[in-house]
Amino acid sequence: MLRVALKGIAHHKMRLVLTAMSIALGVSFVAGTFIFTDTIDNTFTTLFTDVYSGVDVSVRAAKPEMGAAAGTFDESVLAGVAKVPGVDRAVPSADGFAQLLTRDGKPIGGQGPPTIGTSWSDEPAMSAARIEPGNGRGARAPGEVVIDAGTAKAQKFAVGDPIDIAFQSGKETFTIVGIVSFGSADNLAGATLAIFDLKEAQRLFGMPGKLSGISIAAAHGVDRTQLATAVSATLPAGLEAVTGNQQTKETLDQITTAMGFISTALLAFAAVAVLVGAFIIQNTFRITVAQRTREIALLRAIGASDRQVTAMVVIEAAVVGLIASVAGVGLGVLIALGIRGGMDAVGVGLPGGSLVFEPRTVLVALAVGLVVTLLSVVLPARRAAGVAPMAALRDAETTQRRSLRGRAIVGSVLTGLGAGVLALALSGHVTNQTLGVVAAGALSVFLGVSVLAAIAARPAARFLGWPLPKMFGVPGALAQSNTARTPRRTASTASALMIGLALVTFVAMFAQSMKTSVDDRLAASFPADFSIQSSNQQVGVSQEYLAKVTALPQLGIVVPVGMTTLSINGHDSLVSIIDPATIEQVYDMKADRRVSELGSGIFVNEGAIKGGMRVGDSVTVKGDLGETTLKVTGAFKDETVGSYFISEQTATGLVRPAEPRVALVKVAKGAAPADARTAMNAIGASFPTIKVQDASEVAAEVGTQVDQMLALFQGLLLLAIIIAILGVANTLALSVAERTRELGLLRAVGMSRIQVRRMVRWEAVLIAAFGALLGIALGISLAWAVLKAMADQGITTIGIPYASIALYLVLAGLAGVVAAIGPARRASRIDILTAIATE
Amino acid sequence: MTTVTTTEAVRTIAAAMRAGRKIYGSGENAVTALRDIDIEIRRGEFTAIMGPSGSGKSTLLHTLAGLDTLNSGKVFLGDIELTALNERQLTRVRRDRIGFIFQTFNLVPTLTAAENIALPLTIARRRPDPEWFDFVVATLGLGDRLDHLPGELSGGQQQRVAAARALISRPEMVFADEPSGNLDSKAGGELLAFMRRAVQEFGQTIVMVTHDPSAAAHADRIVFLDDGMIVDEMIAPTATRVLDRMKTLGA
Repeated sequence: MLRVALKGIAHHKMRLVLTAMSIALGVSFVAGTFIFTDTIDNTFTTLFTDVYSGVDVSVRAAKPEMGAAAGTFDESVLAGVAKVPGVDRAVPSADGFAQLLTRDGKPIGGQGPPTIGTSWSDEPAMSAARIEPGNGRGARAPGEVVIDAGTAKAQKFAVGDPIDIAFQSGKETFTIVGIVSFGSADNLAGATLAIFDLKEAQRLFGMPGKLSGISIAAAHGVDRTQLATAVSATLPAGLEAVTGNQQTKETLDQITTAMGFISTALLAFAAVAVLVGAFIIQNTFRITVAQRTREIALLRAIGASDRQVTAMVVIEAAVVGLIASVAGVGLGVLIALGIRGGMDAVGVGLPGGSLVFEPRTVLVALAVGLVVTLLSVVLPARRAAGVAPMAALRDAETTQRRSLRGRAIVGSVLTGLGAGVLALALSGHVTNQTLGVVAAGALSVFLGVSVLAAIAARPAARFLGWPLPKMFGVPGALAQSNTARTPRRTASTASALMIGLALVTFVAMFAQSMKTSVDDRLAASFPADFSIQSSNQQVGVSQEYLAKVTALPQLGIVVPVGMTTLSINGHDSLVSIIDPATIEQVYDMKADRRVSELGSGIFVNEGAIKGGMRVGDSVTVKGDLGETTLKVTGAFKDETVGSYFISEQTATGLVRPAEPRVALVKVAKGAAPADARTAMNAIGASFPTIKVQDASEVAAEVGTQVDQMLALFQGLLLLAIIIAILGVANTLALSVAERTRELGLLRAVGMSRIQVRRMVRWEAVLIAAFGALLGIALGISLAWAVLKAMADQGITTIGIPYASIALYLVLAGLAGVVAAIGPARRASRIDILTAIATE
Repeated sequence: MTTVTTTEAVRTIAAAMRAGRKIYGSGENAVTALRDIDIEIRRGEFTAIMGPSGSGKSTLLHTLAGLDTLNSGKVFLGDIELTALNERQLTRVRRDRIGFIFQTFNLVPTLTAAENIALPLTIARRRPDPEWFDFVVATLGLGDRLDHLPGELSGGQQQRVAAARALISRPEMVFADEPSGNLDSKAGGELLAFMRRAVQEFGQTIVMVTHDPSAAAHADRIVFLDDGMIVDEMIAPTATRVLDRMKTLGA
């Protein structure tokens, strides 16, 4: 049987190439994701091991936070630390926020990797940062700065050039005295660096006389861990000493967590691609088994058992699956490079470095490819086993029409089951955990609908193709009837496309609804005229700036809102810190009572109430500084500004004071908003990171962000759609081969090549349109269900992106045309004589 | 042999091949299927082409019908030189001037009998003449089968539908390739009797390839082919005479 199977493969290379491609693309996505994340992991590990290699122990505030909010301590600690036995050298540092600016005043970076400000130390052994010969020297005086080589190269800055840098205290001009690099890397994982003299750094970061950390080099032969313990013993409360290894591990853990999210997301898209590929494989093998009924019957007639026939199909699938998976692993390298390029393009700069190929990548990718292929051929193989030896003697051309009743039952059960799971999952409060259940429900619905689609294929072909006979005569009519004659085949092919389009429609509708909801909410909930935010997410709104604008006569009231992460009853939640006395003038949170009743309690969102919290309950709230029990004093609906609210007083005991995340502004009575804005902008000239927006600008910005996400998702889903298009091409190619004689006959009785091509093309368009319509309908339904369930999370308006949906339909039709190019050409070139020759 | 030069000849000669040579393959594997064939098909006549397997009879039919091309020589259909036409022009000639009946697989499985009959006309986006359509359908006894798909018809009925299709556009010429080859003797006899009537009653010209002497006996004239050459002719044949002749060809 192995030989028969291998001969079969050799005999139908083209059809297997297309099949293999559909699985290879899915596998490549899996492999690419692994290669990409492994590579990034490896690069960061190397980089940060290097960065901390010279530091044996460091002193820092306990529970450090990222960025400017990190705790500081008095510089007198340094003298004590330096005296601890075993300490060779102790180097103080002051870290903070420093936003480099381009020559025309625009922030450099800041959207992804951090913009780091720190102080210079002349201890090369204790830092990975190097100033290569010819790149200047360290910063030793006020007004001097050292920047990273990445920024210098990108912005064409050289030693001696002036550069503007923005701080929370405003903008200042410096002279570049040096440019640092890190071995072969130009920067630290894409971060920008501004390094100043220690005293200067302390002034710039608003921490005179204070330090962010102390790096310690141990004396020769001193154990790191013991030294860390010894140093800890001398430290005042609130400070800790950790080893360099510890610090490396913490940093890498943070990165791994962040990368894990990306990797999970990418694998989800890979799963979609693999699923679509499975449809194609299943369809291809079903068709080829049907086409080989006579051959299989002959094998059965001459003594092959049904198990041997099954084995033949399975072996053929296994060989194809294996070849495809190997190709997929190879393609995965390109995908990994593509993902890296894509992330670079959207501004998430990632360090370079050669790709990492873990054995795990190859194993998982091969396993995925093989298992999916084999699972996909279970049904076709069983069909093959069911072929009776008598079939060899029957006329192969007569296609028996089997009842679709089994399909109706299986399809309805799967669809119903999926819909039930979805309904159940969406009835409660939607959290991230719900997502998995929703995905499982959606998968079941997809499978169910694809099974049911076979029943709908015939009427759909009649309905969708109604103008074709009128427009194109016989080719049109035949395109229509050909689509209807093999409903299972049409349905499988269309279903592959359906999945991709359902997801594309789903995200488009999600995006549309988010945008519409934000627009509506901003109109309904914001009496404020302007919002003030930092364009750099590492920091909040500069207090200096706020103080200056608050004094402006054009402004009536400026209400700062802080934001922090607190653990509420054990769950990390984003909590907003407000001034209950003023917040209602700028923001209507749609609470069930006046916000002044907040008191020392907490206001919770409607979703939390749904989740079981009650007004009057006590909740445990834990922050960096402590833990306390708060009473739920109210509930609210609008979550634009936060999901929980506490007062500034309540926050004091829980978290370190931080800059407000946003400040909401109402202009003074009688003042024109335009004048107020001009005045704010005049002050803002010295604070380049400050962003002043009115409601429509906030909405537009949210819209842009949502659109970027949408574009990213759709780009990732494109692969699934490409696989589906391959499937359409494959099905058509098989159908054309199957109908060789029919096509020859049509040509003999006078159908022109152009008409033959047109016929195949329209069949493809019909299949594509069928799949697209199913997908769009499913996508809209699914999005509607999820969005309805998320009404308590701020998605108040459900919007249908009609224009996008119309575009998808047109594109699906065009994709059908593209898929038909090869098969149509082949059909039109069929040699009439061989087609009509008698056997 | 006379040369086709006069309009008189054009009126009486429906199709002709001049010095037709056809070679399959090349080099050592080359097989000569037709060796300088000269043949004229007279209008209004039922011509049968007979010969043993490999004699080139099917090749002669295909080249006469413009389905296959010659290596050298010329083919005429009426006053049109088929050998001078390009693919698109040939397709139009097949569609508008020629009818075909093949041995098997004559019908498009997704179209009903009526649609199959009208196929050459609907491809050309023309409507069949309803009287002619009804007449042909009635003559072939297909009246109650028009809405059936080919799969629902017997072999004989399928071939009669094919015959109706071949005649629906009143072609100058009908080419039939073993039309009764897959039918039992009764159904085959009915089909051939109908072809005979078409020639007699409405002056249809038919060329048929067959190896069945009783089928060939329905023709006005039989052309015998052997090894790519015309070896004999027989006018007003009977089955017995044909059988005797075939024996000497060693078929």
